[in-house]
Amino acid sequence: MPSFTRLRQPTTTAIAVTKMKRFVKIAASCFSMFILIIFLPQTGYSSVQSEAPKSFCEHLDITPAHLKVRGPGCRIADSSWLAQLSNFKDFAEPITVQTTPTARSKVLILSPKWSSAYDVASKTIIEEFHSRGVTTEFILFNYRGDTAQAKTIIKSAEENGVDLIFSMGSATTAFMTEYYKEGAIPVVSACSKDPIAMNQIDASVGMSQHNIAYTSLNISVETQVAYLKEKFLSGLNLIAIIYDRNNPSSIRTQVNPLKDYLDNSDTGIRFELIEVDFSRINKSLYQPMRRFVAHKGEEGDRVFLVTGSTELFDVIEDINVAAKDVPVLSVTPSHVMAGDHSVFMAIGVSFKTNAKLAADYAFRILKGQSHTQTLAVGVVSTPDIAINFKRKPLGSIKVPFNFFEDAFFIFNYDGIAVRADGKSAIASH
Amino acid sequence: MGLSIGLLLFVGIGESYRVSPMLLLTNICNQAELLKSSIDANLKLGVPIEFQGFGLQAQKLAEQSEQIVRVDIDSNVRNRSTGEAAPNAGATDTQNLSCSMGDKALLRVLTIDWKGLAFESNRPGHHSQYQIKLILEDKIGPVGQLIINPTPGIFNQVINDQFRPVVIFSLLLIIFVPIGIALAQHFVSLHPVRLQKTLYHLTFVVVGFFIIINLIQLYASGIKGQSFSLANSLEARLNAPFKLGFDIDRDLSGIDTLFQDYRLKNQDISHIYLFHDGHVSAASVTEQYAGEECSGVRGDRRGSSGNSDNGKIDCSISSLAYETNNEDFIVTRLPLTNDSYQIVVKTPWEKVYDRLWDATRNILVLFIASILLSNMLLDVLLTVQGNVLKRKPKNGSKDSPKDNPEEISIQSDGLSQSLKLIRPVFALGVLMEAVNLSFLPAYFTRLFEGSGYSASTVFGLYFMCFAASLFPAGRWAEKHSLRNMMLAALTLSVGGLVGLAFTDNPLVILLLRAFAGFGQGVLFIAVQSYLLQLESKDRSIRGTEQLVIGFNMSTISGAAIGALLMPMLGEQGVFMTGTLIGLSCFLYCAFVVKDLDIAPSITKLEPLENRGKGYSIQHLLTDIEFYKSIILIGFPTKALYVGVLIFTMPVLLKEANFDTDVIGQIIVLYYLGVLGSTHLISKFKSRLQQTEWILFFGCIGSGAGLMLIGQQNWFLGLDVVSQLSDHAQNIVFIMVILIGVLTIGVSHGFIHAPIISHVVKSKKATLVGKATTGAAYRFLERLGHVSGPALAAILLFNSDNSVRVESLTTVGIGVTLLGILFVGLNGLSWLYELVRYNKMLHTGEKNA
Repeated sequence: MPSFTRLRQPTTTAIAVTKMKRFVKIAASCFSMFILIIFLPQTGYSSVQSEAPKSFCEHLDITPAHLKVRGPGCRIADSSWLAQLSNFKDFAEPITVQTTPTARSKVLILSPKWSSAYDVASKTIIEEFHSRGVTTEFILFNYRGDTAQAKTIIKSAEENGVDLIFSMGSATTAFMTEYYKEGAIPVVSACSKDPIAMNQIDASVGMSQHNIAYTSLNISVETQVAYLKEKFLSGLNLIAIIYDRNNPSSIRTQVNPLKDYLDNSDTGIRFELIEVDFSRINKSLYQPMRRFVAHKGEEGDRVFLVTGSTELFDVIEDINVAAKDVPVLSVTPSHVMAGDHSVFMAIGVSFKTNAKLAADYAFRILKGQSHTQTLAVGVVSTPDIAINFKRKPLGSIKVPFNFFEDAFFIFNYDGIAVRADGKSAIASH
Repeated sequence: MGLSIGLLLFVGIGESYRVSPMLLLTNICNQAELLKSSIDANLKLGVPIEFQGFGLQAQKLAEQSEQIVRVDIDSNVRNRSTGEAAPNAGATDTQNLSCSMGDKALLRVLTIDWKGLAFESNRPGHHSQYQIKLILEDKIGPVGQLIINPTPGIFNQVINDQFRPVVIFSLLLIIFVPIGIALAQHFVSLHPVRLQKTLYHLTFVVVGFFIIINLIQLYASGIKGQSFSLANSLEARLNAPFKLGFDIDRDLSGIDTLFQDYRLKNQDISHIYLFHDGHVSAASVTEQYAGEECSGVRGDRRGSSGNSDNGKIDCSISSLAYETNNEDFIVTRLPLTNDSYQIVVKTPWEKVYDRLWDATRNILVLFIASILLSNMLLDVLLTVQGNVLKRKPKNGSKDSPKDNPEEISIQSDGLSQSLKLIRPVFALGVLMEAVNLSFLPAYFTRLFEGSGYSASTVFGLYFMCFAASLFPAGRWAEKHSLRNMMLAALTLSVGGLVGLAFTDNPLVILLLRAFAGFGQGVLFIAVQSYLLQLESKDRSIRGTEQLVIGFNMSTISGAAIGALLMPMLGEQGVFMTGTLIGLSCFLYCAFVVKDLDIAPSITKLEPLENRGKGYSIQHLLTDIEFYKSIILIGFPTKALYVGVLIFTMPVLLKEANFDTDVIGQIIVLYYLGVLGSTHLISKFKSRLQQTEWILFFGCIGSGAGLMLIGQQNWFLGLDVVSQLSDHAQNIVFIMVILIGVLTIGVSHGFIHAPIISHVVKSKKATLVGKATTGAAYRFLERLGHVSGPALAAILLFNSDNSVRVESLTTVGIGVTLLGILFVGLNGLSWLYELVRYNKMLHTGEKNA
């Protein structure tokens, strides 16, 4: 890297110009973003929230083609589910999905809101059950953040002989832990943050010992660091952890565990914390980043690690500019997007993979092979990787071949997806 | 000839079954693993197992591969509870193979298509069906399995195609060589026996040579196929980035690690290179070749998955031996989609030769075994043929035999013929047991697991019955028909052996082994007595030497043949082979062997008084010479043979990482040593009348051999040796072991036969009877057999069951000292006799 590039500091004018350019770029990429917002929910990748579709059943298009709903299919739940809900002024109608003419078990999927992430997770769970030959009737219910509705539907579930409940999302899992841990129906959490970091489970025990089996949307910090140091940058000795001070859940589940691990292990990696206060973003984010970059030694000796936060992701392009040739990585696969609005690489757990794990837990519980009380927290051992080569720093940093093979999303040097959801996106080439 | 050539083919083909199917399986597994890794990668990326593209990939593999006929994807594996069978698991005639199975396990599963070796057959359903199942996994766990169906008969077909010409050629030789021999004998009357043996051995060598040539071709093509499938697998994986518009050198790292993983999974491969524009872009090379060709190529490069391999390695493609006809390596080269990149996979030819070495070694051992057996059988045939030819002119002659001037010569010939005719009885009798030697301990250990008995109980019982039968048999042999004894002994032995093939009941097995022990003991004594009678008639006939030669020859041949047959026939098959040998021996004995007339010379030596049992024992108990021979020579030698050679040496060699079959062949060297020196002594015994000195040299040699093995660390620590390469040091170590074992074998040859001659020539022995003395000696000698392992455990083993190598030196010194003591005591008794003789002379003169 030429020395003048390293020494150059962005001036106020330069930042203003950069912001202008960024605005133009954002505008220019609107179309592609729009396409992706439409496209990614289909592939189960995006976590961007979506409004409740007019017909949820149409939206819940289960792929591949032969798995499409047959028999009773997808419809509004019958009156036994609606009776008690009718006391509420405003409620979402529960939906039943059945992939076979008959069903031997009933499963309730309880979500706090309509979200493309939960759509992906729900579809994955339904596909997994179908693929394993478990004939099941799924009841999907969005309680709209109203725990009273959630309690009502749980009561209906008990009356209707539901065999298992999926608690979708961290909020639902927190509610279920508080309200239903001694309940009659077994519960499996999905798309929820690490229950240990969220204090839902005692770390020393590692299992719930009650009615809820937990899965984690976070990979273990050991795996995270091993992937960074052993498989990617062998000379890595410094990580700058960028986090949003107003996002306590990411601090609890991502920042603190990593900090504790690096403090107490012999990985030889030190860390710097960049706590972002969006009211003074220049001072709290860009200036520390510049300092971090200015002291760069060998190539690949340091990285920026962006933790999960929508606000942080909104300024990801500024972060990339400030990072110069230091790689910007993330633990959230959804931080890798098409175009410029992306980190270079993410190593984490996708909603789909987490949902598969949750489905596996549910299968084992329904088959009587495992019990919620004794199931260890479900952590995905092989993380999902997503790479955007357009955000690969200049210099000689290369992507490990096995990362390339394992990456479920790859964007090329133009920021265009060449592999999407594990499948080649340029088959016609 | 048909038998031994058939055996040679059997072993050659068996050896090819040990190696070739393994290479083929690796090849098939490489291809299957490629498909599996592709599907696994997609499953981990979230693609469901039901994705139709997987089926298409599977179909494509089956269409492209010559070794695979069908590939299925079973997506229901995780729905089944543990223990629930897969839908096609019960399919008849389909056997499961595994990519992790070793050559011996694979050989047990394979069915050998013997008919296919002679006739080509494309009949459907004729070949065995095999399946390889590989688990498909996503990030959560197993989701299905890949079922690979290799082409039916693929494992047999490759071997059959390669060996069919050899089999046909051998059959032609078996038919035409005897005709050639007959014609040659018709026209060339000089040395007919030598001519016959030479032509026979030449045929064996020619067939052996053809087998080895075909094995080279078979192994080379197997290894080439393996390299090619590996290169193919790499090509498919490395092409993926190009298809997505990336460049390996520019964008990706960690190719070295990928290559290393491949190389470690395929131990035959020595080099894997990725060339880019003629320069090495990535490489993985075994330590052995690191730095030989490219200064930048390091063996076992690791940690390069990061960005440490940014610089290209200073090695051009032209500097590498690159052609496919390379004399050192089998080279496979495949270009990638971007043709500036090429994958080069190299396998050293020495990997082919290493595998071939096993086959050659086995063929060599078999060759030796075959020469030993065939020489004996040819002698028998020639003897029978000679008798027939001699009888014809006799029938036409009117002269009385007494008038024949060559009567004495014919009588001597008759004894020599009797010797030749009796040899197969003992040889085959021992052979029938020896074919089981290589696997019997392991077989009994497995069979008796949890039964309350141990394998050592069976061996103990066998040896006890063997020993218990010796003395009564010796007494019986003094007065009764030896031929009938042999027949009875063979009946017991055959009964004991055939039963093993049909039962796995521990108690029945114990009973059968007891029968076999009795049978072998009685046979031993009967043949020994027969040979001693012959020796008594004609001193030029070395009966005990013949016994030792027969025992060792059969042990060598039996152990070698049995070890080679076992993987193909299984234990029961080898028991049945042993039974057939025993039955042949019985029939031979019944129709060919005749009892000898008691010669006047023997009668003269026998005491006139009635020799009761008590009388015999009384004489033996007072015979110092007998005790001396037993305590100082016989007992230590047998204890050393069982304790060191049979018990300790395999453990010692196992500790040095020798394979079981190599260990067996090193031990065979001992028997060869015994055989060689026994044969040598029998030739020069007329000049070596002093058996004491022969026994003394035997002790000194045994001691020296033990000391040599015991001092192996000293040899390896010598400056000259320690500066050598690891490979050369290994050779020195092997040489020390080989020379040591051979020295002990040669030295024991100086003891095994001469000691019987030494014992039975004492005055007391002439009073007691040679058969009884011989039997008594053999009985006491057996105590050495029994106590050998216990003594070895005390003297030679550490508490952790490792061998205390240095203690072998101490034992060697002990054996040497016993030899010196033996000669010293003999010297003293000679001096005593001399003094007594002088005294008698002096007294006689005085009286005169």
